[in-house]
Amino acid sequence: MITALILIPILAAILAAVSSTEVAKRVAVAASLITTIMSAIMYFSYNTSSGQLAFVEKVPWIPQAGIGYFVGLDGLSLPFVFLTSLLTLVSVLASWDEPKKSFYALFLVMQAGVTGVFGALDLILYFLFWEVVLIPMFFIILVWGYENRRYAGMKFVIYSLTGSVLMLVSMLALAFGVASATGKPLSFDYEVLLANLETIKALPGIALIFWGFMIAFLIKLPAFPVHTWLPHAHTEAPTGGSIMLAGVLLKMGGYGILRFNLGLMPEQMQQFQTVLAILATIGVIYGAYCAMAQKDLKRMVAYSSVNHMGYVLLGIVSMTAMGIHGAVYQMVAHGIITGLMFMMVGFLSHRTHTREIAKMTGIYNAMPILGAIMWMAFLGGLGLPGMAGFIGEYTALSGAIQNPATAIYGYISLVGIIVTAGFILYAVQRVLLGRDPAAADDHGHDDHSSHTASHKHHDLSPLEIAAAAPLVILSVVLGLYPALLTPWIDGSTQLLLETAKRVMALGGGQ
Amino acid sequence: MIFVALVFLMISSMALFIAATFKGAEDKHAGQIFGGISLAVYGITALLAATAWNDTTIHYGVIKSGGLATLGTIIMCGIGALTVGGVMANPEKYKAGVGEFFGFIAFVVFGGAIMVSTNHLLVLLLGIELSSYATYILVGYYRDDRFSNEAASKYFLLGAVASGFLIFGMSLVYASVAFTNGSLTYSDLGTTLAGLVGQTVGIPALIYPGLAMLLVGFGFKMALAPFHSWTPDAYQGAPTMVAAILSVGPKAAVVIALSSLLTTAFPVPELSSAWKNAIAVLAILSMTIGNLMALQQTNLKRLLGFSSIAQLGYVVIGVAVGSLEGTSAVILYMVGYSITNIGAFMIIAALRDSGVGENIEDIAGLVKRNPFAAVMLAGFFMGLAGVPVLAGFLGKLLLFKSAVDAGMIALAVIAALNVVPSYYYYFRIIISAIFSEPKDARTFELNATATTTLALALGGVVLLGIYPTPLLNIINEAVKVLPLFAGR
Repeated sequence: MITALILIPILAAILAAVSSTEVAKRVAVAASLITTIMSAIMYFSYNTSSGQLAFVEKVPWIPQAGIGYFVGLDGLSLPFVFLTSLLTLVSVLASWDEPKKSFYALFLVMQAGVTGVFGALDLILYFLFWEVVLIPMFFIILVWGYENRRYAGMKFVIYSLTGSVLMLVSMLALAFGVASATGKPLSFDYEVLLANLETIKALPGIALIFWGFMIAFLIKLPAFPVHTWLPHAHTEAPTGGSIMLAGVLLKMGGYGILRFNLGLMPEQMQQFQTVLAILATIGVIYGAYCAMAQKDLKRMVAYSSVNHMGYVLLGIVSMTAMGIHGAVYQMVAHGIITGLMFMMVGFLSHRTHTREIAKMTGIYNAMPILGAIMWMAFLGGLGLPGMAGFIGEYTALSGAIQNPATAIYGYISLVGIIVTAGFILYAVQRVLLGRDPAAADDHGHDDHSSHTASHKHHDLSPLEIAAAAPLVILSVVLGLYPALLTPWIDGSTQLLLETAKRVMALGGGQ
Repeated sequence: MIFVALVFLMISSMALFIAATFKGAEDKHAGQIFGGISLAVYGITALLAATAWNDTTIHYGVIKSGGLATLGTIIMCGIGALTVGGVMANPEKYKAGVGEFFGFIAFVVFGGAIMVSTNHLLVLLLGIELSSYATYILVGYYRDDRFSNEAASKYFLLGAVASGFLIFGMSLVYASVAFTNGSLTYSDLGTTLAGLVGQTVGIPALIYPGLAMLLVGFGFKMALAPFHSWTPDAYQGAPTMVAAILSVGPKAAVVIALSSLLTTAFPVPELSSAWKNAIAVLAILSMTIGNLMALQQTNLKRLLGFSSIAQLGYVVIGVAVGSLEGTSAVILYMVGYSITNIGAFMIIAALRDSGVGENIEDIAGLVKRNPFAAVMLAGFFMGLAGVPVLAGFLGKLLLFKSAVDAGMIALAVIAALNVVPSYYYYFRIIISAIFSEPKDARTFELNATATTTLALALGGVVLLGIYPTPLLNIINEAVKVLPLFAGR
């Protein structure tokens, strides 16, 4: 099943690359629709109570080096696999007027790569997929981005590659360390490593290995202070690219921390809890203040991701069931809501030809449908109760407060909520509210306003509404009916924490 | 029977020379004709060699059929064929005599095939000399070019000194070990040494300088630091495709022959610890010096020269380990490195033919001028760097693993640290080709032969990176004929 989820987009990408643009976009929609349905079926057929790995496929690949093709999903990765397919579909729909077919092919390759990242349970395989994701995203930014795309693309690649190299070194060190300590053959199999957690705990230099993984994931997440690539990449990427970046690429970081840092090295997670919690708190507060200061609407949304991912990191490092649950929920919610925000900002700037907040006003009056959806997305980003983001933020913060060691950071982060509300409402006020400039323009002396006023902007087309609809529905449904996601996360979180507790309870080690 | 393959290769190489003297050998299609014949020769030789896979005959006491000889010969034929493919992309450049040029390449391959097939010290020397003489001439093939001549003279003088070391080392080995029965086959040397150690005589003292001189000689041929000084000049001055075969062909053969020689003839523990340590030191020096020197190069061929010093440093880790895993990792790495490095030289040659220079700043913004060439360049240099999915990664991984398993952890750690600077200089080239603004924005096309050969080579690099298991199994099977050390 997982292999099919990876292969379908790749085959579709090849097909899209050799056919015409019109065919390519339909192939892309078909492939992502099929994978969305497939992953939805997988999602609902998963046995949530056990929290075990399912859909496992294990084939020896390079047995001499202990590398295998090993994929499987559990409650922590299934939501993201679904989200990946769905957001690919949505991004393709949102970029329907793109004249180059390679655009669609690259999205499909990216979908395959991201699905692989969430599915891979062999370290080397994981790394391969991790790198595969980088290439299409880089080209999407570089070829289809806005003015500063070159700088943004370079920065994105250099940051990601730095993380990748550190991660690869840590993976090799971990596997070699385990192999030589246990005397067993070298293996990059996640389950083999999981069976040797006590050995991992006692490895020399395990702290360095931990940080090798951690830095790669913090860059991807992104957390303060390695977040600086994100505002550029998000702002300069085309709409579809921003949706994918915010929606699923950032989640690779949070998922990686859960799977590898917490899953394999809980002791070190505990040890560096405070440092990470401080970084998370800075991310929450600083991200929110930065967002408030932005003049560019898209950049503001980008900084709001730094803020939201701060909650994710805080939830994870609290190492409580509630905190981790909240982190995963927040990641899913953020994928949906921020994806929607980027989509709306993209549609808007496509119409107004500007992303500057100061140049926009009265959008709600001018384009009621776009305005309403945007309003909803912004309120979702604010964490309004009744929307998916609220549950994520609330549980993540409660988890952090539950653990006495991180409680203080949880309380400080509460301030972030106020600042977030501040920048979101401020943006709503400036962009959405106010009089419609087209209706207000009487004389047309001002060059710019006469330009924008000369023709009334079209509201969302049916296709654009169709692209937004799944995200709108999901953001509300997940806000009102969390049982659609909670059991999935819970089962696997319990399992993860039980293992972690068991290992930490064992003496020796240090 | 490997002997038949060798004889066939020898006769064909000579025939190429004779044919080159005929009237009409300077025809404008001569390059394609001779190239096609050479490809056929390598194909047939490889097939003939393949029949010797299960054979264990020893021909005339000096050529030993078997898996390793077969595999080594096939590898040499592959290297030769790939080089020929690169040459055929633009044979015009070798106006001094295209037919002979292919003949000399055939002799490099033939020499290599002898090295990997022999089990006799003197025949090994013959193989080395045969391929060396061919490369001396090839390096100086641009007769009118000052740099080519300079490169050839430097390479020849130092190479001759190295041969002197080899011969002196061999005579010392003879004097200390083989004087009793007069046999210089690897296995006889090994048995005699074991016998001497078993008696009260112990290890004859002369063997140490003998072995040291052998290692100096081999070090020259493999361009290991501190015997590497000829490499950058020779690569920069030589015709590009000559540098390509020079950087991998003789080295692959010498590495395989050296593994075979050391583990068969000098496995006694008193001696093996000495040569293991010596090779480990050479490996560390080569990796470090090669990588550090490559950091500051601006000429691509010179950079590849230093990089090949570093790469051979990684390779001989496996020779120093001498285990089954180590030796198969050596061969796997050498195969991957050969394809990748020839590919890298091939793209440089193809760019040169299209009017792009050999310096890093000349290839700036290549992606805008010819995307295919830029992808190829990026692919080969990433392969050299050892990026996963490409051939270099798994080889490095297995080499480091074999060193860790053998307890040479310091060696593995130094090697792993050495990968870091190498990433910098390989990626500097890729970044320049993709991200920099071109100084000269004219687009250009590569010819069909160049495109095909490059695509084949990159396909090989990717295939070896993605699915190396069959090749690894073959290699494992082949090296089992050697009396290797235990892995742990």
